[in-house]
Amino acid sequence: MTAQNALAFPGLLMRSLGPALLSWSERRRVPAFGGFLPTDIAGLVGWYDPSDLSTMFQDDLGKVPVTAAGDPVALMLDTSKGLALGPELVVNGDFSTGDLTGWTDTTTGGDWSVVDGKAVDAGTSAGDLQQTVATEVGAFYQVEFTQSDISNGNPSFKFAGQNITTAQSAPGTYKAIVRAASTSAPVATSGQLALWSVDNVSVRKVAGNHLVQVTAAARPTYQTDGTLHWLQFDGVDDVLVGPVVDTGGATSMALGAAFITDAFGSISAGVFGDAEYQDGGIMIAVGSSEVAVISNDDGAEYRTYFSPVSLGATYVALGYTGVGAFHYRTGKDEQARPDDSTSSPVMELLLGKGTQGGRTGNFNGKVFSAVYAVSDEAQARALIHYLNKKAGLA
Amino acid sequence: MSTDYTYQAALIVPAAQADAARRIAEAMGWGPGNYSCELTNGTDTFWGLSSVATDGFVAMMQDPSTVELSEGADSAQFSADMAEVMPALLQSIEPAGGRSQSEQFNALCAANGLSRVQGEET
Repeated sequence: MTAQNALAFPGLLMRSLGPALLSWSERRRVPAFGGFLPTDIAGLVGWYDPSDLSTMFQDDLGKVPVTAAGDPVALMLDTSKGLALGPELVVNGDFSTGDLTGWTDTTTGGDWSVVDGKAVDAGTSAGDLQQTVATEVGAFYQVEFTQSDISNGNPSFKFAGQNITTAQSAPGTYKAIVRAASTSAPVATSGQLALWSVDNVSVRKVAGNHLVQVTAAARPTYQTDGTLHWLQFDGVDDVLVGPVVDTGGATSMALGAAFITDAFGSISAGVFGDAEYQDGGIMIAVGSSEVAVISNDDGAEYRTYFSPVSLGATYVALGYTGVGAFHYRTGKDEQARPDDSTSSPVMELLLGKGTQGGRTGNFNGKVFSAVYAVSDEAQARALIHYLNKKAGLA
Repeated sequence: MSTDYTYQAALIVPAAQADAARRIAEAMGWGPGNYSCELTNGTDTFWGLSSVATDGFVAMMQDPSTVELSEGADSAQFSADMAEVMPALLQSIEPAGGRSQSEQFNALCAANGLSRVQGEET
């Protein structure tokens, strides 16, 4: 691992240091709050923790890590699956066959060849070296490659049309995390008449329901007081967007968040959720006089209003929909709800914004953590305990 | 470590300049879909954004020639869009942290008689 990689993927650095240090997954299993962590729930589908800087990036391609308070957060990795990497998708990415097996050389002069285990571009004609890998729409892929021996031209490297490097990038190993937009994606060099070498090309799926924001103005910022860590949403346009979560058809789910509201908007603001009016999902929302926990069934909606809500006060709110279903907010009696009061989510997961009843509201405040799981009642209550700890309430 | 994002900006454009303003943002590497907050003065539609910003952005607003365009951006189109947008742009740019971004944005709206457009509740 290069120093550059270590900067971009500090979590990976931990894993690369060998058994003397705790691996990423081992660190996450260290009992922090009464021995419970969200990963203790087998059905965990989304865990977002701003205290783990290795999961946040300033750009939506995961190339620039969040390192300081005030940095924008464009990509927030879901750690519910331990950031497990899928199988290698690139054929002969290390060119160990000694030839271009698996690759297509589109240069008119057949410029690419394998020399000393690297693909070398002779740079005499137009065209690229490429191969196409199968991808899942909306899934995220870790892309890695090494470039060297650049002596002419301005080569670059792309995956799914996204620049992993630009024409000015120096020799070295580069990584990025790219969301696939279709069922296949090209891995390709770019840079006509460039003299350079490429090696160790890798594309692997990163498990999880990751949140992203491609629009710079709509990115929340990372903030900390040295003890607590949170995402700051501006109440104007900030929101992180995830996929439509696949819960496998489960109806027993828990969704919760720990947060502080800094200011009320003129309409209710979504804190975290994937609810669509009477059509599935769960949402935590904030209005001028209450915290609302909303869970939907196909054709019915269940709302619990916990009031009053104070600006600057820390709350944990959670909706649980299985046997013994309830809605919860810190400091208020919880409200029992009909069992199985939700159908599978039908809209994308949103952190910092919500849509319900035709209106959309952006959250103005701080989010300390957010979790989403297929769970039973005991696990849902454990999540409340965890969220309270993350927000400094217990 | 300290952040490079030491400023916060609230920017608003009339609807007629919104497409050009979004092209400017995209040419600067801000991605698509900026100016997503719909506003109205009761008659006309405006679009606004609230964001943290770097020294480079502030320098560009004062002198557009300092801009570093993203790869593939059309510099001639950028210059044309800047000429169209800047005279109509409502802006508030200040060091980050003095007040919240929403307070800054709301103050710019209030100073120009603008309020947010809300969807119809169904």
